[in-house]
Formats: sequence, C-alpha cells, structure tokens
Amino acid sequence: MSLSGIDPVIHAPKRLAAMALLVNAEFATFAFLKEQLGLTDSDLSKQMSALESAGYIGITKRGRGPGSVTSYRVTQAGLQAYRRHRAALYAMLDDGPSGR
Amino acid sequence: MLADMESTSDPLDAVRELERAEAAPYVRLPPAPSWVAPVFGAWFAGWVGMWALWGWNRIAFAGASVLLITVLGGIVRATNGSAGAVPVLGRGTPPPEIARLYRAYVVGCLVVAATVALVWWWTGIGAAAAATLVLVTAGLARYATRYEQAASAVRARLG
Repeated sequence: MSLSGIDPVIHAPKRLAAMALLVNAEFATFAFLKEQLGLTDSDLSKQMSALESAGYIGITKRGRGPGSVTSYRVTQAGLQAYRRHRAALYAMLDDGPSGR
Repeated sequence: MLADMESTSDPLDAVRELERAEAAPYVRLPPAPSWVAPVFGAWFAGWVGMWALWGWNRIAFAGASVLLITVLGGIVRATNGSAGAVPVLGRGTPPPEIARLYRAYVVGCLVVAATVALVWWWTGIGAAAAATLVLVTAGLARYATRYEQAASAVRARLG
C-alpha cells in the first residue's frame, strides 16, 4: 500500500470530488459544482478557497451582482497533485483499475 | 448530485465518489440544441467553399477566413456560454462509454474528410461543399444522439 502520493489538501472528500470534476472540465461554474457536489454555498466557498490557497485551482469572476458567474479551472500544480493522489488512491485498492 | 461527501473515508467509497465526480462534466450537461448540427454543417461547408476564392482573389479569401472564424467564435460562445462545465479533451478521464464515442467521433471525422476530399477531387468544390453540409450535419446529429445515449448509460451505472 502506498501513501506517498496522498495529498492532504485533496484527501478531504469534498475537495477530492471538486478536483476530480475540475480536472475533467475546461471550467466549472460555482452553480454547477454546488449542484453536482451537493454542497451549500458557504461550504463550497470554503472548499474552493482551500484549493485556491494551495494553488490547485484558479478563479474567474464575470459580471457583478446577482447575475455574476464564478468559474473555476484547475492549475498545472493542481493537475499534477490530483494525478499523484488518484494514482495513490487506486494503488491502495489491490484490484483497482490500474493505469487509469 | 454526488453522494454524501462526508461518508467517503474508505478507499473504495472514495474511488466511487471520484468516478462520479470525474464523469460529471461529461454526463451532467444539457443535450446539444438541435440547431448545432446544421449550423456546424453550414460552417464547414462554408469553409470548403471558401477555397474557391483562393485562386480568384486572395483578399476575398482572407476576408472570408476572418468572417468564418468570427462566426465560429459566436457559435462556440452560444453553445458553451450557458454551460456550467465543459468537458476537457486530452487531460481528463472520460467514462469508458464516452471514451468509446470519442474514438468513433475521430474515425467519423476522418471518413467525412476523406469523402469530401474525394468528391472535391472528382467533381469540384461546389459538390464538395454540398457533401460537407450533408455529411457534417448528419454526422453531428448522429453523434449527439449517441452521446446522449452514452451519457444516460453512465448516469445509470454510476447512480
């Protein structure tokens, strides 16, 4: 069992799911993440702030007021950290899908 | 919506949640509007037809190129502008059902390109543009239908 790739920032389930989604998307809006992850506004904001502080995601805000849209993109550092974490996670499962 | 995020301390549960989250950008999008296929068909037909200008007037050719690029930008904005997420190509891990469809899409593009090239070679640029309109429109419409079927299958599998 290998724990070498486990990233403490991504290991939290909510942040892992957010990173898994963002790695597979050009971008994702706050509303889309909130709906898919089933989080409250404040919880999602907290999780995304933690990922941004780690340098794993970038944030873009378009517009102001009620119609504004906040989007997130994964950074190169985030992509690498996610890939290491994912590989370590699958390595923990003896019969997990290898090489994915 | 993904399952309860607080309950995934077990690696197997974590992997299941991870697969659902990874699949979300591919399978949680609204179906493509019906106008997308004919509009892209017309755009590609215009691109093929544009080459008729090459031997006639290079400035007109350049102008047509700029016009087509501008139109393409508008189409992409119209299709992606309201999307909550857009799947990334080449970086992510699409579900196997979607990955198979992507491979079929690439093969389909090659078949269409080869067919258009042959029509162009045998009959000329006008017929090639017409063939492009028909083939791209039909191909994209078929792809959109199959994509929705594949996305439904993924949603059913992952819950």
